[in-house]
Amino acid sequence: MIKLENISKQYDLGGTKVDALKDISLEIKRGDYAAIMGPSGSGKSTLMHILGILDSSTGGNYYLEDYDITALPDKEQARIRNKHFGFIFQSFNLFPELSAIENVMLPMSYAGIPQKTRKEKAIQLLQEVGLEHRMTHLPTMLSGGEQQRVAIARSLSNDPDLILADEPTGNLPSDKGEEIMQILESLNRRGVTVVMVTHNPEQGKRAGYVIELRDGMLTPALEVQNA
Amino acid sequence: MLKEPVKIILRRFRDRTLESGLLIIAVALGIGAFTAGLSLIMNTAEFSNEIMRSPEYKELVISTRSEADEMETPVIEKLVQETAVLTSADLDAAELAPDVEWAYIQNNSRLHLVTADSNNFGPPEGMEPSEGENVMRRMQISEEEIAAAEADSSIIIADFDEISGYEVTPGFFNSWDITAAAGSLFSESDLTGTDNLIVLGDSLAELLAGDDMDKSELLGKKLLSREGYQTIIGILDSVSDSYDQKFFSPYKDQTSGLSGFRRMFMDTQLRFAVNDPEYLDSTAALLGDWFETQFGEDQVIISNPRAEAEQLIARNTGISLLILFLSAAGFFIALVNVSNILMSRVLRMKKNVGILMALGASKKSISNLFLTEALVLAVSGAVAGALLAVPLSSYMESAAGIEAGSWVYISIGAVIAAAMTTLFGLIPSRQFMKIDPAQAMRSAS
Ligand SMILES: Nc1ncnc2c1ncn2[C@@H]1O[C@H](COP(=O)(O)OP(=O)(O)O)[C@@H](O)[C@H]1O
Ligand SMILES: [Mg+2]
Repeated sequence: MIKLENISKQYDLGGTKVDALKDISLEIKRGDYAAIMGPSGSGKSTLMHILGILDSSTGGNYYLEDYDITALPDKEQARIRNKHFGFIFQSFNLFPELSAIENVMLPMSYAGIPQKTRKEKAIQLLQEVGLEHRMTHLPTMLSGGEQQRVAIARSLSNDPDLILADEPTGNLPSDKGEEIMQILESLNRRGVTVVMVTHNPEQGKRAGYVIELRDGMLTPALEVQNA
Repeated sequence: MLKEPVKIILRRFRDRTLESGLLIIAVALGIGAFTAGLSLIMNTAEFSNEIMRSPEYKELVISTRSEADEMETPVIEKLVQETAVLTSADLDAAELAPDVEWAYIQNNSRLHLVTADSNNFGPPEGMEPSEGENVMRRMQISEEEIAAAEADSSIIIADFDEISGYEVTPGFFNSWDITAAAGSLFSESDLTGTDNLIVLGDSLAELLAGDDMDKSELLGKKLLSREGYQTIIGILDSVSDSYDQKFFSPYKDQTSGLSGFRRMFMDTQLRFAVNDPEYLDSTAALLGDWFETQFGEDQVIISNPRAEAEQLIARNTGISLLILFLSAAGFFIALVNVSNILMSRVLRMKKNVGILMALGASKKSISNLFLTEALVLAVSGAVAGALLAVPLSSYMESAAGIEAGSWVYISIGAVIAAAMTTLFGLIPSRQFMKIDPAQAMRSAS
């Protein structure tokens, strides 16, 4: 589904250059369940952003379904993020002004889906993550685990092909984190491709394979350890 | 239903009550001042143009020196001074000045009406008639006479005491382009006749006719006044509020006895209307020379109401321009500050912008989202500002002598100001056209 070729990312900090990613080549196939691991500052988030076309690389090529999308216009990028990718973040990133159901409806409004359909779909998704009794609550009235489940429902609203989760359990107690893991794994069993950043080796082992980063580079030994 | 991203913006606007309130007040004050300033200058210009079109400002007014200079001089002293006396014959001076279109006399006048219930006709007890001409001229009318007049259907007895009007020569009607709606205007020959003729303004005729008579039925009837019976020969078309309430009678130079005496106190003003205001100065020079040869130096003065009005208008326009400049400056300063506050609001939204982009927002849709915020601000500010501008501008306009300023300019001003506010609100929203979503996502919320 996704192929990266010699991707690099350099930050220019007024003279000194920071290499966040160096010469990354990898392939993620449809239905994969990949974990990205590595120490803090090793470039995991940067890689996630590039995979999610939230950020552009400074070198290399990005192929999505064999199309080179390295330099796509902003509007096209937005459309791909909206329809094909679902993002889950460590700090949930729900909009505090919107209720749970409105947060889930939001990505669908960018897809041009009518209000009534948006609402029906959001209700269904919130039921799936077990939050049918929390729909009109504002995020501040929800626990961390509940917020992350709303965020998962939101990421699923446009039936994405790929879920990109950056440390989704990082801010949660282990039992709540486990709930999230279970949801992601069941999604993967339904055929959704999942790429997840994690610090937890246990979670890494449960993934199909691990992409290990160190100082912005892949650690080759671990790259092709398929389960 | 609003879309969710718009809800975010509107709820943020609502939740930050103090900041949003101050923003709206700043915009409203700026728009209010600017709109009022704009309305003032536009209405000043329009009003000036309009009054300059009035026949009054195509005229030169010629009066005797004594009237202008010595108003405070006791009347009795004036008798012994040899001052010029202007008469309708002096209107012939118009023939010397090629650009004069009409020449006429228009003197203030007044009629004291006899009403059915008036029973005290003479001067109050102990106050015998003195030099005052009005009293002397008044007819003494007995109660029997009133009773007889009441029975006579050809005599009109009013139910009010006094009407005001003008003694005019026929040129007055020509110059003001006033025509008779019924009956006729008087002619040159009426100036020398002995009958008392009057022509009534539209609303005055309405008033005299009362409820149970059509005003055209007044024609040919006689109005009973202490100055004598006045035969109504015409009723005018409606011209303007001030003239519609007046009567008009033929100006007579040499009425016998008391009226002749009166002429010496009531100075006659001659009015010369030119066909184009451009010729006022040259005509003034021509007429000035002629009157000097007639009456000697410094005996008559020629005034040019247009020149005086122009001075006043120039002053009002100057003040209006200054007010417009100051209010526009205030508005601009308000806009710069509003733009700054909006910018800081937008920057606080930075992380949210990154999330919105991750969820599928394009840069353009983000920019439009902030434009919505600017629009909400601009529209609410414009509405509040226009409400503020209405009393403000009507106060300023009445101070400048403008009666009914048009509200059109307030609406136009508010629309322009709202557009400018939106434009300034656009500046911060453009900020996001440059940044990367990943960059935005990393910023602390
Ligand atoms: N906007 C930025 N400007 C400069 N350096 C950055 C920026 N974003 C990330 N970096 C640097 O890139 C490297 C990788 O960061 P990141 O991808 O966030 O690591 P991780 O997610 O693995 O902790 C780090 O050294 C970080 O300091
Ligand atoms: Mg990270």
